[in-house]
Amino acid sequence: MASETSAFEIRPMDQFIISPLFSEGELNWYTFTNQSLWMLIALIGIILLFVFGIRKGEVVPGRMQSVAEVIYVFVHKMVSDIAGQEGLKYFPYIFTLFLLILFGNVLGLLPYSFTFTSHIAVTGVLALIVFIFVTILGFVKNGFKFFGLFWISSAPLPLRPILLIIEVISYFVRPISHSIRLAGNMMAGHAVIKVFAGFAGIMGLGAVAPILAIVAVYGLEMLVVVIQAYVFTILTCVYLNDALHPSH
Amino acid sequence: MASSSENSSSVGMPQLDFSNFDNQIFWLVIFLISSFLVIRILVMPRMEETLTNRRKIIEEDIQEAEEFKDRAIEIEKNLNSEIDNAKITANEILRNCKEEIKKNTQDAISEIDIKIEELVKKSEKNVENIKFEAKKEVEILSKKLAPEIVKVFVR
Repeated sequence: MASETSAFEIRPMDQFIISPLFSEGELNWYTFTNQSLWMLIALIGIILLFVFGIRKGEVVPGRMQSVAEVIYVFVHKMVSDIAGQEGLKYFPYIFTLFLLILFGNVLGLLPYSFTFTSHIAVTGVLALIVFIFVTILGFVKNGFKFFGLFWISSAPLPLRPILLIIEVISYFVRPISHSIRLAGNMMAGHAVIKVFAGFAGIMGLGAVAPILAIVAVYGLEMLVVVIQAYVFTILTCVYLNDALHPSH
Repeated sequence: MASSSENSSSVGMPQLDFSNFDNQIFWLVIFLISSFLVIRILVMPRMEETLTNRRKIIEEDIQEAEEFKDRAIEIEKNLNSEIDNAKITANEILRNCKEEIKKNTQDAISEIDIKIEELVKKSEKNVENIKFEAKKEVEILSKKLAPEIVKVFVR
């Protein structure tokens, strides 16, 4: 179904291609790409909402300030609920993670945009930073006791070696599942929309069913996009809590 | 590199094109750091200030309301005690009035009794007088009549 049948050619993955924006040809490590552009737009979005939105700091907030405050308090509460008061020390980074992923995801739903959170390189780095930081923090805070995370003292003794293996494996799988969950969700949703859009393009004016499907999937994606940002953040909090209180 | 990524794109996933990972990671780190700095320096202090400010205002308002409530309770207490006092005073006045009325009535009755007694005495005296007069008159009459009667018998 490659280049011969060009009329029926749907390329759902083309939207994820990274290409240089201002220069042709070679893609160096410093080249400004469409991905970098959308990261920049996400940053601008964050600045617009969270710097200009709360500029006035009113006691009775307006629209922008309300939204910004709701998101801020939401993440703040999430961190303090899951990781406790000590976890609040790391709130700025967790909030940054949440905002960057949320804006990346939501902006990615715009037509012709680029979803940088659909790239495993991006989510992998984000997850690895969390993983490495949390592991180091666990050892620094608890020392040898951090191994208590793998040695389940509440389980019966014969089961503990088996649980140890399972726990160690699951611990090291964390960054992989953490990153692939986000990237996979973003990629799948966008690819599905693109496939239906391709059908619609082929069918022309009579494409009622594909367009309805796009609307439905788009609505679902609106949900998924926010939930995945939430899931990534809440898992970060859970991992952080494991590092701060490994005995639980 | 661009042409190779175009070739790979039509089939596989662009996500697995490792040739541009360095570029992606570089820009991700750049924007991660810049958004972290934006949030740490620009967003959080302002947000915390706004939220604490609001919390403070709400707390102050609640405190003020509490004070007003206390004052209202005190005023109510004062009002109640004043009402109680007024009730006690009213009862006293009422009792005094009753007593006075009783006394007045008693006085009037005893006065009337004295007057009645006086009148009775007076009338008794009158009756006595009348009796005495009548007796006298009878005596006079009998003295006058007795010779007449004797005359009649003698004859």
